[in-house]
Amino acid sequence: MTWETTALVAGVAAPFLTAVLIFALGEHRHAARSRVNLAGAALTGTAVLAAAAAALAGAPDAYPSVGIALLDIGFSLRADMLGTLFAVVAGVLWLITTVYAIGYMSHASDRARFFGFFSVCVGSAIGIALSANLLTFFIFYEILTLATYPLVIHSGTPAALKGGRTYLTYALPAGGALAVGVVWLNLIAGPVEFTAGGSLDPVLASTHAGSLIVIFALLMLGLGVKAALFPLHGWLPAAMVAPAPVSSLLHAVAVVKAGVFGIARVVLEVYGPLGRDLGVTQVLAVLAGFTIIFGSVRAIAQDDFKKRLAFSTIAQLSYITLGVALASPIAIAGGIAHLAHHAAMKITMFFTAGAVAEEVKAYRVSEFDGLGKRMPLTMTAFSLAAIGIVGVPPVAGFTSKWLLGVGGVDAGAGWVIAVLGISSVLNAAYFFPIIHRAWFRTPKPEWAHGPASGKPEGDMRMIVPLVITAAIGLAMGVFAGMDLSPASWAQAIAGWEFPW
Amino acid sequence: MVTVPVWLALAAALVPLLVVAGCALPATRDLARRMLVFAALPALAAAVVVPDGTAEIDWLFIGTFVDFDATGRAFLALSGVIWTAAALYLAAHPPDRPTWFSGWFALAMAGNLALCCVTDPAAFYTFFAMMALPTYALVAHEGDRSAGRAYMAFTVVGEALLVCGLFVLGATALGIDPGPVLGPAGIGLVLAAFGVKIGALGLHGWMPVSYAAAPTVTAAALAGSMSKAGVLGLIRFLPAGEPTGIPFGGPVIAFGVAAAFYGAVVGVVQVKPKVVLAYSSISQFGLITIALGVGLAEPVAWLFAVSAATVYSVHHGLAKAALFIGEDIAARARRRWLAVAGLALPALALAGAPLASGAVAKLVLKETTALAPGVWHDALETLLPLAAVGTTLLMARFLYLVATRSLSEPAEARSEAPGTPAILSWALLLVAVAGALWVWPMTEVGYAAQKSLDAHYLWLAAWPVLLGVVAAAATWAVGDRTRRLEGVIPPADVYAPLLRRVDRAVERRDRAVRQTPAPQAVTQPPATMNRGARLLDRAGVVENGFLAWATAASAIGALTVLLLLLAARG
Amino acid sequence: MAEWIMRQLPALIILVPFTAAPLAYLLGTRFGRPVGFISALLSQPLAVLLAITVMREGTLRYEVGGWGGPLGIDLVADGLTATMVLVTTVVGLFVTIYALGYFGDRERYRFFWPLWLFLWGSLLALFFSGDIFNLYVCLELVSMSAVALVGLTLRREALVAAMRYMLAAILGSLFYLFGVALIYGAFGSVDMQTLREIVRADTTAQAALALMTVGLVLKTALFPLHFWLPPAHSNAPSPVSAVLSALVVKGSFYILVRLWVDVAQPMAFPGVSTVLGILGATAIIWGSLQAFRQERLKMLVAYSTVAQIGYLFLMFPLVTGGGQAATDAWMGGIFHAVSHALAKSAMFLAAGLVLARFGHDRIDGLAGLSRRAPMTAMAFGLAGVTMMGLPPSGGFVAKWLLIRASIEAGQWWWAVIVVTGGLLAAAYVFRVVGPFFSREPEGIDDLDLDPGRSPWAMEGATLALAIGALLLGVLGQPLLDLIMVSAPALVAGVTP
Repeated sequence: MTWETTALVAGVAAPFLTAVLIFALGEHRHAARSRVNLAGAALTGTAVLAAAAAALAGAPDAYPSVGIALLDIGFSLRADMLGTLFAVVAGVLWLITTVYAIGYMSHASDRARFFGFFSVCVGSAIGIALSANLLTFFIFYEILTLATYPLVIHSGTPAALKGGRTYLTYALPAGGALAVGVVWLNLIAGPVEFTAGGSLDPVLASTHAGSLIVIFALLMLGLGVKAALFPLHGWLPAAMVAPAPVSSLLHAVAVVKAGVFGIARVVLEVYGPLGRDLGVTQVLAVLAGFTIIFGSVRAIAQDDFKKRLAFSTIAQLSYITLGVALASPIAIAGGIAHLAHHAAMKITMFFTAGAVAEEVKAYRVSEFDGLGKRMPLTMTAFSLAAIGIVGVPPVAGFTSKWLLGVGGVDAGAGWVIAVLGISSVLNAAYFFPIIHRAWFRTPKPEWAHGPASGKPEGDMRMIVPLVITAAIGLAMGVFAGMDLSPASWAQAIAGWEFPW
Repeated sequence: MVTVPVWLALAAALVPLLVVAGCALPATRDLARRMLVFAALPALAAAVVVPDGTAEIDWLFIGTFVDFDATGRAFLALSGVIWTAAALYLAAHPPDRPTWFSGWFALAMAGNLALCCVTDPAAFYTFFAMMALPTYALVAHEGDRSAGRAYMAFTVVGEALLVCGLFVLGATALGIDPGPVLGPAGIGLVLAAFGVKIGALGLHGWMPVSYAAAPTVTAAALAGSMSKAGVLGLIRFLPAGEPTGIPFGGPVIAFGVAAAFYGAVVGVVQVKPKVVLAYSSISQFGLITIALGVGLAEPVAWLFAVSAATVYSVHHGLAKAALFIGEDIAARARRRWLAVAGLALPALALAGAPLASGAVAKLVLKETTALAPGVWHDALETLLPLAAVGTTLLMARFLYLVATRSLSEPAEARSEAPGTPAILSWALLLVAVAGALWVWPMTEVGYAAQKSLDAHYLWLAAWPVLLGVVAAAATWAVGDRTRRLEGVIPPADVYAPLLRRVDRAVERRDRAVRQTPAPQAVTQPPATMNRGARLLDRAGVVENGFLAWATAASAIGALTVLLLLLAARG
Repeated sequence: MAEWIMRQLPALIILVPFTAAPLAYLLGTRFGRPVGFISALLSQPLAVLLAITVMREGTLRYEVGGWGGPLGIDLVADGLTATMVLVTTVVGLFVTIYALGYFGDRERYRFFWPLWLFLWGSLLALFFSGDIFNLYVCLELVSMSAVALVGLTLRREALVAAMRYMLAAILGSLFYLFGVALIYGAFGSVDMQTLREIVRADTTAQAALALMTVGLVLKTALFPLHFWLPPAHSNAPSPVSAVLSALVVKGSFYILVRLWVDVAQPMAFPGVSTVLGILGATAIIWGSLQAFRQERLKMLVAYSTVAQIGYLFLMFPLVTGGGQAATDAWMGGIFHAVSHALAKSAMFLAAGLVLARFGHDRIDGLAGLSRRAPMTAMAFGLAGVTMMGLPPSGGFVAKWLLIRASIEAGQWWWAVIVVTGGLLAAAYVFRVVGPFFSREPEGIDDLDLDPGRSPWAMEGATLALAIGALLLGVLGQPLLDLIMVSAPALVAGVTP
């Protein structure tokens, strides 16, 4: 086993082993669990970074891969550019989230269960990222579906259980559709390896057009739920009953992005040009465009902070889908870059939601007046992330939006520009008021003089992570032109994904 | 002889960011606020020493092009002077929460200076946003939420339009052909977007309210420098000549003319000096719009249009800033007549009186309008002087209001006497207004300056002003009967009702939100579940049937018979 | 030596439990347990060895007493046999470990060990049988010992259920025996090897086949002949329930497969496969619905068995066409039997732990289980994953194959059934698992976190089975290969 394959396996296995250890340690050994968890996260982070290096070295046609036989398709992992991008995002953010979660959960119960399943989720997310074929992808995808459930209903309240039910009612049928789609596709096209530029034989477009369209629909049905594509988005706001770290890493990064990442894999590396010949990607693009507007409009009306963020996520995820579905390398680069950019910005916001809820017990936007005085660092980080989502440069959100827009022109799809413009205004309409309340409104008397004298504005294990993620979000935009920035990385990928 | 690298211009322009950082950290606050006055100086220096040329900074944003040329230099110098003057004034009369204000002030300053140095769409947009959005804090600082909202709404929409337009131009820059629809659409979007910034007719709703509500320094910076960024944007991103035969030129000229007169007419009936100045800006930008319109219509006129727009922006920016600062000084000054006398200089300059910068700027403008196509050529010949008359009236109205303010506005509002830095800043601006265009290192300006001293042109410049003064004197003499016209048009004119409605809506929503209790955590299970439960019970009954021996036996029998039949058939 | 063992393998494997059973009886409770444990341990390497040998050398044939058929008793082991033996042995081991703790050495359970070991032996013998009459004998032995085990507790409901079970079993056996008689009459042989060559479509034989089918369907508790299963499986002691649901029903199913896909395939007549398929589909839907509305955990699990048995029967309509579809259906069906065996036994064992811990198995009384008995909750949940057929469980691989087969065979409706069944399974699994995490009723947190925690060995055995079922999904390929070793012509890709 070369170091590349070792890194590959370690990246996926480490979180699962961490989970096993955490379960084994049991509920009461908190210090030991934290150490194990951090060590596991650190190991995972290094492993995925190494995998990324390996991918870069092997790109674009000598990617390291490893696997075992299963159902004449194979259960196999591969370190490619697209996959490692997602893996690095999930892995690195997991390390940060772990610190945050240790702080956030420091008074909660059932921590072994929480951190255990959390690790499983991350493991399967990374597995999804590094899967070499649809079968492997599907396996990790469904593990993720199941492992998220205990986290969604963690608080155990009736509301939480209800949210969990909603989540399952969306996620499980989707899994079924996905399964049928994958089986069927493998029947028609033989074992489907993800290949830049599409792995389906163009001949199929003429021989199996009908089935391929149905299969695409099935796959999108399966992936669309996690990608919160309209009208499959309903579970995401309901899942906001979960603890903040879950909403942060899973419902802003790992789980939802697993969906859009899957869409990217299918559209770019399975269907490739066929998608456009069959006319399915155009439909997908329009659907994504609609979701963007829809999510943004719904977000404006939400007073519950996390719900507003959730609808924003719904809209933002469709940026990625839209970019991938547009027939332009620039747009694809934009979409893929947004995968990383949105992750950093949105996780910051959910971290904020958790920190604010813990520190000052504010859950609704209308309770945020003058919060900037009480929690300056937190709200600065939040504001940065927020304007980034709106698309204000130089925060990363603008970079991906820019690529998307230019790509839209490149693809000759003028409506994309309209969608982006309108959504920018809408995003401003639901984020600027929060910033305004936090900074420009008169605070409650007890907040007026900042955090209690001598004390920090909150648990530093929660504040520092969100400051870091905000900084990352800013840096990814300012240094977008650098060689290893997500934007450049995405542009490199798009170059290979779009040879046609 | 060491050559100065071009990227230094951008670096110098971004120096104010250090002040922003300084304001953020408690330890360095006071130092940062003291440094604010010097923040724009590096940019000014850069405007002088950095040679023309381009430099690519590929790691910054999505790759940034620093492109330094005569136009950029002019705007950088203008902004440098205006911001320095504003900072000086700020030092003299800081608003409450000065650190907070200074931070936003420096951030907007950095954006404004930096956008003068770049030409690629993404970078320009970046700095444009860095300038426009923080300005909200500067406008709304004195707590006029409604004005702030108006500013933000227009800015956000403008930014959105701009980014959409720039998508197209960015694509074009990459050698992508946007096609017959998107191409012109992009131009249109860019026109509209920068139109918001320069208060073009129909997109001007924010300007009067913001100028009126904002602290003096904000108004000065906005009118003098930041709104000029819109002009620079138009210069940078409009194509020379019309793309794919869509006639942009004519309409743009028409809009310019309309704005020039509309501003004058609505302005003269205003009661607040700052609002009068705002409408004067709208009218003056109309003139600049005319120049660019001509450039759009006639590719050969483009270069003239550019220099005209540049020169006029410099002239108007300096004059307008001087007026805003002076207005505030006059309000504080013990010997008000002195201040009013001082204000006369920029006022006359704006009106285009001989020997003042306005005369020169107007001549450069004429060079361009002389190239206007067909009917516009003659029309502008007659219209421009009339516009000058309008401007004179506006200025007269402004001076009148300032001179007689004590009637309209209680004096204790701004009791504190003008501090030395304030006087200094005003002096700086007045000197600039008086001298800038005479020493301007642009051949066409020098040429125009020469020409403006020629008797013929002296008269050409003089009669509209004289006419305006006479008219003003006449109205003043008539007195009471004209007083009725005062304030018949509210500051935001056509937008006033809309803004009022929005304000009310927002207040209503705030109240509503404050009253609604936190959402209930537990929700009732939907009725459908009950129906499902009933169905399940029925299924249970059936199942009990299956479990009974009789049923079982008959089932066995039935299956046996069935299979045997099949066997017999097979 | 190794060579000799290799040749003796079939006999040895059967002998271990068959010798252990009487020993356990004679030595009584105190020594019964170690005897059972040792024999369970001994069986493991043998079963594995068998699998490896079959993998390498194809079908094994062992002639008892060296006479050889048609007169003597032949023990035959092909891929299918090896697979079933392997799963029986593995499940048997963990059930044994669990039973050690479950029954302790209480006198009244004295008969568990002999009966269980006897049942174990007869099952293995059944899988090895080379002729259809031996199949009958073994089936009978299995049923009788199973019935006895159901009644082990001597509780009233248990005895009633056992009685009902016994009658059903006897009835089924009679049908089967009648069929065997007719076949013998028709072809003058019961040896499967011989029958393979000589059977031909002939009304009497086909009638015989029909009767045998009915009997076996009854013993497999395929809907609507499942009336005996829920009471029997839910009232038996949990280790017994585990064995019944996991292995015993698979015994009669094994014979059905042998007949329809293998031995009697030439005289198979149209329609039956469809009937079986439809009944299977109905079983999936109906069983899941019934499971969903149960109040008691063990009943729920029992009905889940009714549903899961349905999947096994989807195999028949899909193999008839031959080709790739047949191969996939064959692998899918058998693999489902295997993974279900592991998962279902885990579920029943978990239910047993719950009963032992809380003295009841009312589902609404399980709130907060995940904090009061995390391992048990985890085991049940993981087993549930297999029931739902979600990756990475063995159930997933099985369903994958079945779906693929139905698309290949152009009978997409079976795929729909499979997916729907999975969703319904999710419904009843999460109906149980959801409350595990609940904090309602209020103050459940204050409850003693573990009232008399159960021995880790029992929880460990349960969890091990569940994890085994889970890992089958990604590590199942070798097993799939084993299933295909010297598979019947119909499904081996050889077009008849």
